[in-house]
Amino acid sequence: MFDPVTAALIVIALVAFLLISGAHIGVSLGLAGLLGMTLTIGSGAAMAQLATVPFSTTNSFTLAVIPLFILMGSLATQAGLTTELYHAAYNWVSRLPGGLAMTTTIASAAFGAASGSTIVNAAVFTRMAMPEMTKLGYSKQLSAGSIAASGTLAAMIPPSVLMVIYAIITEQSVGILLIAGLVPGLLTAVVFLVGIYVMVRRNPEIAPRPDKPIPMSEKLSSLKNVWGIVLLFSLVIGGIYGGFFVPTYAGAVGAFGAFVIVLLKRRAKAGVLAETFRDAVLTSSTIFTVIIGGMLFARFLTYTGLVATVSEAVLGLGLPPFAYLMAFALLFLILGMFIEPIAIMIMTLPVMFPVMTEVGYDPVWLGVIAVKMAEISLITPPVGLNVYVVRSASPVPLSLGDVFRGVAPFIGLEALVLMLLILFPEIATFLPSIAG
Amino acid sequence: MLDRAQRIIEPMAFLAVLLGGVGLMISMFLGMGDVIGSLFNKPLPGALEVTESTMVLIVFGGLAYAQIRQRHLRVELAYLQAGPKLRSVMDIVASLSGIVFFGLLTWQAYNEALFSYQIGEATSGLVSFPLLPARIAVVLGAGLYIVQLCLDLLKDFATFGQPKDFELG
Amino acid sequence: QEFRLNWGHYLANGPFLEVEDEFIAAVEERTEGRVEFNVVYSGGLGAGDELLTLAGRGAVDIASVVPGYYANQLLFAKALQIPFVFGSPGEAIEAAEYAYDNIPAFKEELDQLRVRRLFHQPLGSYYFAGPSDECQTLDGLQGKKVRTFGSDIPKMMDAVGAVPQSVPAGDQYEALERGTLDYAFVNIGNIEAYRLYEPGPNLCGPALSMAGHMVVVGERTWQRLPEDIRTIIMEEAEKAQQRYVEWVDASEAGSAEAVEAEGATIHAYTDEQLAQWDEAAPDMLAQWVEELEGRGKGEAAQETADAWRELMAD
Ligand code: NA
Ligand code: NA
Repeated sequence: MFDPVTAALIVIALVAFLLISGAHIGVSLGLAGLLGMTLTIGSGAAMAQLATVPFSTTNSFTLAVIPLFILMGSLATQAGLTTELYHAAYNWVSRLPGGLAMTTTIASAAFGAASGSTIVNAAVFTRMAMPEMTKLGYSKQLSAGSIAASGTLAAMIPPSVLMVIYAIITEQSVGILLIAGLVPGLLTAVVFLVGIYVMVRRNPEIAPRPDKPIPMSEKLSSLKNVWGIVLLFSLVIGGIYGGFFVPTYAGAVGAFGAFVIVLLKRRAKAGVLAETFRDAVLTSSTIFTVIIGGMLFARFLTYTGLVATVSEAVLGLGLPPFAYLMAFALLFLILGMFIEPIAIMIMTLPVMFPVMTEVGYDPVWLGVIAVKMAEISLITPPVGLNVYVVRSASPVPLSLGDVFRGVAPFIGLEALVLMLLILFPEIATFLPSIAG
Repeated sequence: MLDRAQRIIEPMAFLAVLLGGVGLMISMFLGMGDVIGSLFNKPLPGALEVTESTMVLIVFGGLAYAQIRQRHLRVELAYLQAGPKLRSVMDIVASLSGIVFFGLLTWQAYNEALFSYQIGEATSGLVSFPLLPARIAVVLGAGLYIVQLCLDLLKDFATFGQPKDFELG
Repeated sequence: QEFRLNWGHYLANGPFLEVEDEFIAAVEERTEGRVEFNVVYSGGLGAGDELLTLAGRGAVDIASVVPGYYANQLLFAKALQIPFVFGSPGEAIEAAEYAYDNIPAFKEELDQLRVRRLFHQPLGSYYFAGPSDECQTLDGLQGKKVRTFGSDIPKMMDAVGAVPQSVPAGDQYEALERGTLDYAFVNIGNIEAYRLYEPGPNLCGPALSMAGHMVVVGERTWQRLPEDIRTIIMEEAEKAQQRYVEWVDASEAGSAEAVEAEGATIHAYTDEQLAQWDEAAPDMLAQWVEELEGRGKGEAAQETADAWRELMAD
């Protein structure tokens, strides 16, 4: 048997080799995880994990929202709802630099109030916004980048799967943490809007603007066509907040709603409809392959106990509180290169949380920071699930490189928000303090 | 020869996706039905369990066809820069690693399906729903994917070093 | 250390697992560091529905397994989670001890899955928690949406006219807040841990008691361990089992006090009300015997049911 550090080095070398060779990402992570488990605890254990992980991961009600929301996005596009939304947005805000990317950000933030998963948001808006934005002349990178980055807003704006998991692991109030995410989520959206403005100002060709103003009559007439998307969003968001269903059911309701609108608008050509379903299946299949592989990789890392060992070593140094915070962020960032945020939280929080609160950090604020770090890890290479989702769900030809280049400026904006949260913790703690 | 094999596999892969699509439609209607039923205090029993099983059908049903359509996620960065020979080598690595991983996965999934059959595995809820179909979906879906990967591997060897198209999206 | 034992837990770590922590500390101390546990919580080594398989195949050494997740594998063990059989957490554990000592079928099913039982977690009695105080009577529960899981609790809710709902555990808080759910249905410790008393300050109960998860060690791991270490583990497991019952009573009482201090009201069911419940709900122990008859294991099931009924009557 190999010691954990040696095994980890071998495994990371294998992942790097496979990823660079262009092997499928899920396969790369999965094989590396299996090799790591074989090296450290034996092939029997590795095979047992391979026997349980794929089925347990897919046979899940909670994750069923992913294909259903992807379907909703495709159906909404088929119904022409998004074309109408972006047409209206074009009429109203296209004189503003980056107006359509801003529309995507705002719509994604609004939809974040219904969806608790960043994957869902990224997939829905790739389906809906990507074709429209590129059709109206926006660069692929800005389009894909703003979709992938805005998708992460779903993790901060309640409801949020990540917040709930943080609350359970750290035994904090789910309700308080969900409230705490609201202002930081909106702040992030605002920073993105400003960022888009600046980006387009400096580089106008990525978001072309019409030469002359659009007449008011045309603006007003385009508004009457947006009812479809407004109805769909109201159905999903209103249904959750009105207590008609829990977020886990929102996918089915949203898909069904979009399906009905497709029928009402007489856009239900059998061939197109079949293609819509087929595409939702293919996209889900490719995303889940990555999730399964990533899960096996995370299991290997968990077995080694490396994360706990490293954290404990750092914590033993007796550093000032801020250094711990930086260590926490760094750890998140490094782990985020390969595994997804839920696994990172399970690995890091049991060790880091008690120490961080002991040196004086507020547990609620820390939850917001953890989710912010998770958002960032979802759009950083090499493994950035949101970036993969955009690449995979895109109806417009797109390379991973396009998306990663597109999100790069948004990573900078995320870092800025993170800094604001550290300098002004009240952004996260004020609302919970008056609510609780 | 390879072309003929491809012509046999493709409809099967398409059928698998179709089944996934039907599963997706079922989970959409069931979820909606459960929500509406719950409003009238009559939730649909088994909606959750059936939805879970259709998820398996969706994920594993789509594998082979996603391969045919080159939809699986990979880091294309180096691939796009590479010349024809290097591309062939990379394709071979991709096919081989996929065959190894999904080969092991299918082997394990087959054992699990067998065990599921022996114990009559079913969900526990107000209604009892058998899990064997979902277990079999894993084996068949992943198995079909392996067949496609093998075929791609043979094609990789047969056309080694020839320039090939690579389409994004 | 000589043995690093990976312990897969489906739960997040917390004060609930105090007794298991003590068990770990005692074994580590008595083996003088030859055994070290690597406990991974929150499903990090395997989700609730994977752990039994993983322990049986040696992928985790020790696992906390909820029998209800394995209704087709743990045909006997799952009976310890049937509602309205046990009057208190202590009685559920007593029944477990009796069954594993006297009815071979209980141990045999674990042998087949290649695991060994160490001890059971007793669950605190279940309470309804919701915004309204109508849970005080059976009438009040008519048509109320109650969060349930597994197979027996939904049947029981259905029988008394409530509407069982499958809501993921993490969604409960918001579902109560928005009225998607009328009641959560868990032990007070969890009501405190998830802060369900915030959206649902009216608690009614205790409605039922049963055993929780079972701590098992994989047979492969067991064979690897030397005799003296096995003895220490078994002795400490037995102590943990005894201690767990006392602890759960004290801990639930503590949680009850804590949620009351936060403004929640606990409406206690009278014996008459409990009898009413019992009458309204189907005899699920008999249903279990029937199910096992269908699987050719009726005799041992009947023996179990008879023994437990006698045990609970005393
Ligand atoms: Na959200
Ligand atoms: Na990342």
